Amino acid sequence: MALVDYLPIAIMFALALVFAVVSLLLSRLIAPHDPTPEKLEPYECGIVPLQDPVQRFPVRFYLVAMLFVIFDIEIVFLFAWAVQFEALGWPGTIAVGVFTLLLVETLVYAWRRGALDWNIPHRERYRRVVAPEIEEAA
Amino acid sequence: MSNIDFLALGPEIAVTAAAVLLLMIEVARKPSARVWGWIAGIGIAAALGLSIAGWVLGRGTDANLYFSDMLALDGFSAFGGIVVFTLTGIGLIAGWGLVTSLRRRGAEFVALVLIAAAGMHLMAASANLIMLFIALEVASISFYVLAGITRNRAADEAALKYFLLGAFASAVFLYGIALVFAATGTLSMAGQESFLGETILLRPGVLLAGIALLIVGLGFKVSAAPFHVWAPDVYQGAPSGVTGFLAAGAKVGGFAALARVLTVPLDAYLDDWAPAVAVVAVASVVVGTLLAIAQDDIKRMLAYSSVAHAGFILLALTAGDAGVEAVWFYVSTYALQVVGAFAVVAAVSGPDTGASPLDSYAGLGKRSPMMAAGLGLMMIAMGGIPMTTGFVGKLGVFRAAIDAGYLWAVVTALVATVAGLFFYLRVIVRMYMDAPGGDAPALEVGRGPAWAVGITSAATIVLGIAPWPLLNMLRDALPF
Amino acid sequence: MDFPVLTTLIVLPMAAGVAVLLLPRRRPELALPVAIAASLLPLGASLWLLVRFETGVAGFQFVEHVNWYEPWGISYHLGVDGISLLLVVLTAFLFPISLLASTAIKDRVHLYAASMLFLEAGIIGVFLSLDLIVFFVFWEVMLVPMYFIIGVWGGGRRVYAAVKFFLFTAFGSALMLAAILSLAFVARDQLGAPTFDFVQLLGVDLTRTAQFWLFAAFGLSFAIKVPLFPLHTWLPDAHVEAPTAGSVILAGVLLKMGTYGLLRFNLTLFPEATVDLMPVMATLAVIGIVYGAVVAIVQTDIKRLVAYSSVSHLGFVVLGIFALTAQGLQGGVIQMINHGLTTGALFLLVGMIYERRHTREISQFGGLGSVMPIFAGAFLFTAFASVGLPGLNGFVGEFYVLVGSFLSLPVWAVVAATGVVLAAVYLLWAYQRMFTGPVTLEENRGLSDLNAREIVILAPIAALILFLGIYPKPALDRIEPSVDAILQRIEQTTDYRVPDFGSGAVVDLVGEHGE
Repeated sequence: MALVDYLPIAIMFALALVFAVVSLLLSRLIAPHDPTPEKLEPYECGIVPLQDPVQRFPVRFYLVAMLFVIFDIEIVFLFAWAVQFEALGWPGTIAVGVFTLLLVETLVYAWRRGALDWNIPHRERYRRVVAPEIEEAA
Repeated sequence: MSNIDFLALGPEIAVTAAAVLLLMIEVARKPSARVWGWIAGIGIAAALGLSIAGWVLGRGTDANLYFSDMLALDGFSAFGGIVVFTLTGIGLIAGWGLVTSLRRRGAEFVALVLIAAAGMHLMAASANLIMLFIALEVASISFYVLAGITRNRAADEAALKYFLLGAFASAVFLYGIALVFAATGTLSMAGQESFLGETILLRPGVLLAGIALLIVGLGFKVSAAPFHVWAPDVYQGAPSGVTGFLAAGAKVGGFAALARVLTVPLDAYLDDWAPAVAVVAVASVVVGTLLAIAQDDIKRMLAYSSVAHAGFILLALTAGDAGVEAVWFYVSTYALQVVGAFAVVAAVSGPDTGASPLDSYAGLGKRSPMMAAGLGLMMIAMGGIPMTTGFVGKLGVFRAAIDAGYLWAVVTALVATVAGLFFYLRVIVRMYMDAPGGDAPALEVGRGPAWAVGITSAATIVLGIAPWPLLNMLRDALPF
Repeated sequence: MDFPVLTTLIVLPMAAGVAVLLLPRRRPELALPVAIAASLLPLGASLWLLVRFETGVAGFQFVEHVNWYEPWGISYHLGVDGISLLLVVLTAFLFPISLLASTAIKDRVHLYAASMLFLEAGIIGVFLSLDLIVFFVFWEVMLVPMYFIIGVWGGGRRVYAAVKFFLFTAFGSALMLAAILSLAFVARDQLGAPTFDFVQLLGVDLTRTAQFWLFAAFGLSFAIKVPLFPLHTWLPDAHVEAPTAGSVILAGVLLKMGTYGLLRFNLTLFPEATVDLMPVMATLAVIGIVYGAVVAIVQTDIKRLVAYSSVSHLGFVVLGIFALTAQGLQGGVIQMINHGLTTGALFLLVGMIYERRHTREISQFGGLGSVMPIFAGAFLFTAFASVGLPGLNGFVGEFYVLVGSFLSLPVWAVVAATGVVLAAVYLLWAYQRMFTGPVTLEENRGLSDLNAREIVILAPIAALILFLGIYPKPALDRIEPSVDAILQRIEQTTDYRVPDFGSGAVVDLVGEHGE
């Protein structure tokens, strides 16, 4: 593939850049510039913000997010299989089934290890099972 | 055609099933460590058996490609399976002390080792660059976690360093894949081979850049200089019970991938990449040897020596196809030496600690004659002294490289071998010629390390004196 | 196939070594006697070899040939000819003696005895191998037991000496391995298949340049082992720090591996380079002769003195080899044997006095002759043999070497002859300081003379010294055909013509002393 063949992409790239720069510059030049304190405040659905947006929240959210990503990815793979469903036939179906089962297994393992426990009754379990291990590892 | 055949994936299925079963039983029943051992043992044995079956069916024949040219079942991948699963078995035996010291998390450790084994075997069996990348990641990510499994400071640092540099290497490797794809229009190795064999590229720049990046990316994995900087810290920080497996596994998987990528799709460009490989090889041998001399910790020393060994193995690749046999011999026997040596380290310094200063080996010849003899033998083998596999391995790679016209590289490597003897001998001096400080008690050695050292020592000597069964076998272990 | 006596010679000590290792650890006193008894077996086999050896045949005898790994062209090829025969016998002869002289070793005796036996297997393997890879295997593997012998059971600076010994030798062999591999590929281009077989490699035609580089690579390795000036610096350290038996083996047979290698491989495989480099090698040899002798004179440590005398004596061997005359080569070979016997005996004697006084400083002795008359007599006898007194073995070798080198390199021969004089200076002066006159130090007054065991150790060596001095013909008869074959090969492949007593005044000058 010769470098020349990339020319359209390069032109596209240049056009995008030019458009962005020109738009910003134009608005800067044409628009009236008259700041007031209200205008400079962060906009949050029209309500006045009550607290600092930077907050700490439980590390568990990350765990859930990771578990979510696993199943998110599953959709991607299932989609690829779906378009080739007929060509792949039963072996493909089995393979995808095994794949899904493996993901379920992951979920089961994470669940049993306490990844989804955050109700108060389960705190007890956490204290009994997970915390000693962390202590022991430290 | 898509060509789905689950038998071709047999070894992977066996070890993965074992890993899944192990984790499920673990969360359901909380069994004793013995049960993990049985499950892992059966899984590994099944995988080994299936690899041997694959060897019987696949060797010497033309390529059998499966899953839309994603996987190759040939002598190369089958032999790779035999090596990988043997190594995994011995590695687990050697590191069993670590498993029990981890309490309930030991199950995760065993499962990760099994998954890493699956990844390593896939690295040898991939017939598609994307497949290779996935295999590489499966093995590497397992390795990162294994390096930090004890969760102490040193292990954490080792794991993080390994992860960051490894991720960077993976990115480089992926970029290489992209460039090779750009140049050839396919990701299938078979497709690239036929394309490059039939087509003369007028502007091969993109392809050459891709090849260079592939070499760099895999060079990281096998710790070839100048891409070796992670090795000493990771080796030293990782718990001793698993370091041998990490070190040997990374070499086996990495060289299997490197050998296949370079000699199958890129065979037509041998004249372009071989000099680069030779330069990397010589740099590795020289840098590894010189830096190893200055180390006071046996694990750092072994890390730098592994850099040098990566260089020796790369030398054989300069011969292309003709060197694959030598690569396999060297890497498989070296892997056993490494696992044996680290089994001794685990016995001396404890399987769950990182550092292992050379001073703690003083008088080992008296404290534990068997461990000292084992480590001494491994040192002699790594130094390339005859009657060990180390010598036959070196003979093989030097032959291949001289035949390919790299006499200068061989002479440099030979001189470095002698310099390398200096630090291998230092270990022996410590063990046999220095008295232990005070009345050092006899060393308690668990059955795991004892077995691992025994097996690897026997293999090192037997295959060193009578290597021809393995050499004959390797003539059928070429990639398609 | 006949009885594989050569394999037996290698396997016997190896098996004995394993057997010694398997002896119960609680009975360390068993190790040495078992090892001594076991080492008599290879001696017996070597004597059988000596008797069955067909005199007057140049080629290899008792040949064993098995393919080891055909695609690489490696074969297990053993054979013995006139050059290696006596060296093998010498090796098998010196090992029981040095084991018998090892009673001072108390620490980890079974390991020590096993190391000695493995060493014996390695050395015999070196002398018997006719395949370059197998040769290299033995050459390199024998370093390991020697390294342990020096490093574990040696003197104060043993670790330094052991590592230096190992690294020096390994460095030389690294280049030799590169040369061996290159040679095999040249052979493949000419013969169709790669081969490391010495006999087949003789048929390979090498360019002059190739010969030069290969000669250099092989030669460096051998020269370090000999050791040839200026590569000798490992030798005094290794000899001094090694235990007595280690020194005996080191001087007695290990150094001969170097000269044997030069003779066996350099002269035959690279004849053109040999002829070209003949003056260079001879010069180094002569420098070694004079330098070793001069340095020996000023030594205050008797063991160091003997060590440097080895440098000097081995110079004679190399000079004889590179004189490229029949007499020179024969002298070189016989001198290897002689040096093994006399220097071995000297080291044994030094070890015996060291065990009594725990010092080797010459100044610590004086007037020992009156305290230990047998010891003094034995020392004087051996010193005379080493100096080259007619009637003892040293004379035969040095005479042949000097006559042989006078034919082709007269100037070198004249300079070398001063080495003989200097040898008399350092050895007899040392004798005078140690043994004659009144007893100078009180500690020496109560020393006991040699006991029966020590006499048993020395007697066989003394007998051989005397025998070879009076009647060397049986030895020379076996050496001659093989040596002549080497010279013939050099004449066939180069323009060099071996000078002999055929013309001019040389006949009258030396003829009357001839055979």
